[in-house]
Order: sequence, then C-alpha cells, then structure tokens
Amino acid sequence: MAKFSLETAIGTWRRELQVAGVNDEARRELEDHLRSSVERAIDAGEQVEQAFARACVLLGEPVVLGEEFTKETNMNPWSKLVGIVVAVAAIWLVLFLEGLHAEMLLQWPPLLLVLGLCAGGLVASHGPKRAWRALSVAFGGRRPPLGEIAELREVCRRGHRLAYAGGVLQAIFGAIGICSHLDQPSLIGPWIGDILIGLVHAVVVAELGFATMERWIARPAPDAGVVA
Amino acid sequence: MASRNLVAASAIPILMAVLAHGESYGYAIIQRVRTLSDGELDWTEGMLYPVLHRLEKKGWVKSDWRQSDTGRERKYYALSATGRKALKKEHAEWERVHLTLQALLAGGARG
Repeated sequence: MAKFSLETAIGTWRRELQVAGVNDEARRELEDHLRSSVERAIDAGEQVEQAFARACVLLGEPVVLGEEFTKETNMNPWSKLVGIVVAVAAIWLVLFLEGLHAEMLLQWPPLLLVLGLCAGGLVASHGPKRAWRALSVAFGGRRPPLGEIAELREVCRRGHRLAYAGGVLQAIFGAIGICSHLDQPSLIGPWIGDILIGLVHAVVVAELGFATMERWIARPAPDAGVVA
Repeated sequence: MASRNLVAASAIPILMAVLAHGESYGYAIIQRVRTLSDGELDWTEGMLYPVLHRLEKKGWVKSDWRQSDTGRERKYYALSATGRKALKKEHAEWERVHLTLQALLAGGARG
C-alpha cells in the first residue's frame, strides 16, 4: 500500500472543492481550517491519515460545501429584478434612439432573440474566449483541467439565466403589444401566441441547452481518484 | 444535543457573541462554541464560513487576511460597530423568547 501523504491528500481535497464551485478565497480559508484541525488531532496523538480523514468529515462534504458557498455568491432576487429592468430599459433606449418600435423585436424569430441575448450576455460578462471554451468543452468531449471546470460551469449557469431573461423580455414586449392593441381584440390572440412561443424557446435553450452543457462539463473523469 | 433547526437559527447570534470578545478565525470560533456548549452545539464546521461571509456582506463583521503564528495566511474576523448594535438586538430577541418560555413553563399559560 502506498504511504499516505498529507500534502497529496490536501491537494486532492482542494481540487474537489474547486470542482464543487468553492471560490479561491474560501478554499484558502477552508484549507487553513483543515490544517488546524489535522494539527490539533496529531498533537492529541492521532495518526496523520486518521487525523486528515476525521478533519474532512468534520468540515463537511466538498459537494455540500460547494452548494452552500454557491448560494452565498448567487445574486438575490431583487438584484436579478433590477438587472432585468436595467437590461429592458437599455434595449428600449437603443430602440428609441434608432427610431424603431419594440414590436419589431417580435418579428425576429424568438429563438434568435434568446440565443442573441445569451451570446451577447456571455461575451460581455466572460469574454468571447471563455464563452467559446465552454461550448467547445461541453460538445467537444475533452475534459478540461480541474481548475477550469468551476469557471466553465459558471458560464453555463449565466447562460441559463440569460435564456430565461430572453423569455421574460419577449413576454414584456408581447404585453406591451397587447396593451397597445386593446381596441383590436382580434390582434390579441397572436400576441399571446408570440409570448408563449418566446417562453417555450427560453425554456428549451435554458434547460436543454445550458443545463445540459453544465452537466456535460461536470461529468466525472473516468480516472477520478479517491482521497487517500 | 441541540436540534439542527435550533443550531441553524442560533448560528448568527452565537458567532457574533464570540466575536464580541475580540477578533477570531473560523477554527478558533468553532472550538470556542464547542467548549462553551459542552459539545451540545455541534456544527458542520465548513458551514460556518458561508454564515460569516453573509455577516461580512451585511457589514456586521469585518475581516482581514494576516499571517498567523503557524506561518500560514489566515482570515480574521471582528465585529463592526453595526454588528454590535445588531447583536444587542438579537440578544434582546432571544432573551424575550427565553423569558416567555420560562413564564409559560412556570404556569403562566393558565392565566
């Protein structure tokens, strides 16, 4: 049996935290905690391997910790709402300056609008290289280095949110269309149809597109090791 | 052993009460709580950090990375002035719950 190495075990544990989405600063903090816990157990007479295993159990599963830390960094619903309002206001401003009508947006294929918003949002927030990398890793089949997985998953999560934002945007434009044609009831039906089609496209892009991409990026490596 | 719900509900005031006595760091905070509660308040240690980070975002706690006596970089937390006020309020609320419960158990429910 190979001799237990504390540093190797801590390195593996650190990578598990990274894969679980725990950010760099929190990882450093948790590592200090883990090391303090191991040192104390060793001082109390425990073997290094046992001390490490016990410290890991006390600290909690990396996956569970990842979920807690991700919750902490997720935007709260009010920030999301403010973000959507700002995005809608910005689009209206552009349309106004261009002398266009919001209704024209619904002339575009809904899928194009959702995909355009996702692509534009991802390029603006993560840069074109990172956005392309997430696509190529998810569909290309090659597993990225462990350090990159959390970052690429974040790209997918943002794409997921943007797709729904696209659906909401189309619904808002549709609602505006309905309000401006209240005197022509025969036109309201097609507007409602447009809203529903937009929402369906948003769900398809978010759930079948980005959620699947995230699962593929996070798929376990065939040679995934086990902590000492 | 305290129930999970009680442990979760009391985490914030307990963390702040530990920090009210001076700055500290995650591992030391856990040890302090474990000792003072005779092991009755047993947290999953890693869960302490998201709570500390939330308190930091609220401005109730300040933090500072420094080199510790082990030579490692360590994040120290201290209660801010707003945090002290919040702790006072939390303490008053817990006191009210405690006093109500005591009064009820002493027979106040009949009145």
